[in-house]
Amino acid sequence: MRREETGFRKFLEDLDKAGQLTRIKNSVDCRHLSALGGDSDKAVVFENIADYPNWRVATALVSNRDRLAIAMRCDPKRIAFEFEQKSSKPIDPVLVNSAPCQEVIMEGDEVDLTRIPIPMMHLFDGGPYISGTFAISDDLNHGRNVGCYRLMYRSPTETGIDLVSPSDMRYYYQKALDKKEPLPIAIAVGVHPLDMLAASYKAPIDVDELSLAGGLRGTPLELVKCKTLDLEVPADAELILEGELLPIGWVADEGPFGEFSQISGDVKWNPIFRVKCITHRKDPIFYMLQMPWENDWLAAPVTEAAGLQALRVASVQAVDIRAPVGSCGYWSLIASIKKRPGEGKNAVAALLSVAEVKFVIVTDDDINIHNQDDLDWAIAFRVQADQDALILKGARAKHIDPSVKSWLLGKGGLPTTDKLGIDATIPEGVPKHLYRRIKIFGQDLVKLGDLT
Amino acid sequence: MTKLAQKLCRELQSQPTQFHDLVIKYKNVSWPLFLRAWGEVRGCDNLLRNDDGSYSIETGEKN
Repeated sequence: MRREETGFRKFLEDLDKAGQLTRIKNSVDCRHLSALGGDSDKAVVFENIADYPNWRVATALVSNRDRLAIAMRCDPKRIAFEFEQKSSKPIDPVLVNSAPCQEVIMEGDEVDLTRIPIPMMHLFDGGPYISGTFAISDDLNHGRNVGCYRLMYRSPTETGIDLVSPSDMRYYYQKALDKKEPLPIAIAVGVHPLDMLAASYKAPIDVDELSLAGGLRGTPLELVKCKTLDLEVPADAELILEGELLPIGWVADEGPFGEFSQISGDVKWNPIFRVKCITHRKDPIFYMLQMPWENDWLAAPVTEAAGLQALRVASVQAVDIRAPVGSCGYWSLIASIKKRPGEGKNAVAALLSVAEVKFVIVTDDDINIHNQDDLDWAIAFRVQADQDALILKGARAKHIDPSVKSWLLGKGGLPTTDKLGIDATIPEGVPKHLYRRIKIFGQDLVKLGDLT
Repeated sequence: MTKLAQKLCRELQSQPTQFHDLVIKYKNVSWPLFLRAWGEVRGCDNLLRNDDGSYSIETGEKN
């Protein structure tokens, strides 16, 4: 008996019910999928892919906050709080014996990535890309790790993989490389967006992201053993690539790619992923993660939840938090707090400690941080540069930020960045009545619409 | 090497070329066929990447 769908396909149904999904029945070439997906204000499923008769392609599933809220089953403004609450209650995965993702198996000489509709995504990309991946690896000491890493098509059995930034899988790969051994990895494509959120969460190295995914789903993730590796993958995925990162180091060209920084990136030097087995459903749906929007909206709640946790550790009461999509949901954090004396600075320091966040604003809770005018007002009148701006030098950075000049570092080098935080809370010692906002006399008593 | 892969190689020998320019030039070739030919080109030892992301193939000939 076929198990009930709870993953990727259930989410497509949910989007359909919410009127947030368009289904295109015309035949579409892989070279046009990205452009057509970007032309839609809804999520899209392409039902008929030229030269790929059994495949469909889904894209733009969570390219705005409303659709991410459908995945999370909450109000769009509560995503970060919901994410933080659910991720604090992980549910361990369970193992099953058979899985939809293994209905079709290609091994050995049958392995051929050209049989998958890998799309041409952006103008300056170095090749076709698999953008929405759920990559699983394992380490004897630290256990299983899951992350999201793009794959650039190189040949029917090989892809590039972007492993430049610091990550647990990069660490696992480095350990394998030191022993001159390949690192076995499995890539799942077409998993629920909550699984992708769990994978992109910067969890401590010993935390199993698959348990986080279970917590976010509210039900254990079903896993099945890979056909050729000692790894387990989500049973309800659409497509699995089993293989290994070759022990060659950061020497193979990869990119450019339309990065989540909204910039067409640079050529990078990366390892190679050799595919040894491909498994998929009989009627697979390839997931093309739309860059940069889906990536940015998936990044935002993770960054926001990390900010909430940092504030909690700092004993600061957060009221609202936002990782603006203009900063790709990743590089900036804006928070409002219920402040006690000094906590504006504590909050700034705490938020600057989050991952690669390099710009932080903290306000009091009378400021609506989703309203740019309100935010500008707070910065204009509650900030003295010499007292309220905090600069943190030499912190961890990401290569794709051009201002960190990572091209000067050489292959495999890791950049650093300086960070800026602004305490836009009411300064200590300034009477609160000096910030009393204009209110029109009688505005609650009379309405223009009541006059004839 | 297939004829299509040979053609792609000649393109890259003649001048540095962005991947998308090859995709546009060979837009009438079926996508899987194009991908297989590109896989052959990627296997060339003398395939180079330039700073702007374009590809070229060194011929070894000097002017």
